[in-house]
Amino acid sequence: VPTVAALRTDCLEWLDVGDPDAAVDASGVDEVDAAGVQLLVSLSRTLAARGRPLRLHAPSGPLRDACRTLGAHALIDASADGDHR
Amino acid sequence: MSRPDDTDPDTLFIAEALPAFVSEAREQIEGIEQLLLQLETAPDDRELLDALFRCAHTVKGSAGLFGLDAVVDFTHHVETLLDRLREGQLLLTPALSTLLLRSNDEIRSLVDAAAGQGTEDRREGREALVERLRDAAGDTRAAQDAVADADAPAGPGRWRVSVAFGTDTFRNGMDPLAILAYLGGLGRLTSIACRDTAVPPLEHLDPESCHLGFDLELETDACRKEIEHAFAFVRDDVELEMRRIDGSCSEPQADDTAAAAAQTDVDAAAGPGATAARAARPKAPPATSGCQPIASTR
Repeated sequence: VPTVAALRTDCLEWLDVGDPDAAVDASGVDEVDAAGVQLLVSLSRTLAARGRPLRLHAPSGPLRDACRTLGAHALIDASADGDHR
Repeated sequence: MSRPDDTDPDTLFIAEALPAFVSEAREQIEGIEQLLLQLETAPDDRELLDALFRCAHTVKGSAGLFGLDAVVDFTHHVETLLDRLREGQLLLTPALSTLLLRSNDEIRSLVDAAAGQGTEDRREGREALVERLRDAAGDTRAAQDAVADADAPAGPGRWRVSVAFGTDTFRNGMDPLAILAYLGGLGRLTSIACRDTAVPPLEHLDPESCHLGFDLELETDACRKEIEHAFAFVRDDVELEMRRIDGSCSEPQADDTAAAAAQTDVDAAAGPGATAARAARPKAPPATSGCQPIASTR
């Protein structure tokens, strides 16, 4: 949770750059909690409102597990590399 | 135990060492209180739970050296419950924490009595506490077996669970991820959907506030109470609805009121049961959503 505030700021800056094809590099996520997944859901909604999908690049095992446990399958299914399992 | 013979070596030893025991026991008792308070914000902290157990164990052990049977007997029950907690067999609910704080006061007054500072013997109150400690700890397994028996004719059930976590969930140190993972461990989550639309877009998101809600279906042998137990740590700050959907045992329709009532039952239902919290809330109304065969509630 302490890091989500910083991540949100990063995400907002990243959004401002506005590269429509950008993907989030999610390969280095060693640990994630529900607050982290919530941030991704929020980011995904924000992008969707701008007509862009959230593309996670190479989501790590822990991130995949967390998204599945929390029923946020869409985040994983839309991952940039298409490697779903 | 204490003999009037002043020259008896045991009596002399006790007279000389007792103040040290009393002083040390009071330190441990103070430690128990501090640990219980710390655990209120981290109820599953294994190190704190271990430390808590050791405090009680130390008091019991040294009281035994002095033949202070009342201290030993009572503290033994506290220790048993603390052992269940540190082994993760029970959750330290607020109600359980209250029971332990009261029990700790009882140990303190027993030690005071041993030090010759007691005013009155509160035997009756003590026996009531022992009863509640036993309910909370010792009978858990039997209660769970009884639960299994009660549910056995119905076999595995399918449940539809809707849960909306409260805004302060993260700030309270709780992680819905851990709770849902625990829930999955009760059986098989056949479906789960995150309510994305409840999560604000990034511009409006307070990332430390929880906006998460889920709709899920669970196949499990667990009964309603066991499923509710997964939410024990957040029960003051969660909207929970659950309904059995396999048709073998129809549940009362859950509306918000029923869900709130069910939540109350988690910590307040009377009688022995799977969660210790119940034993600590004698004022409980009769359970309406218990582990009895569910059809009987209709």
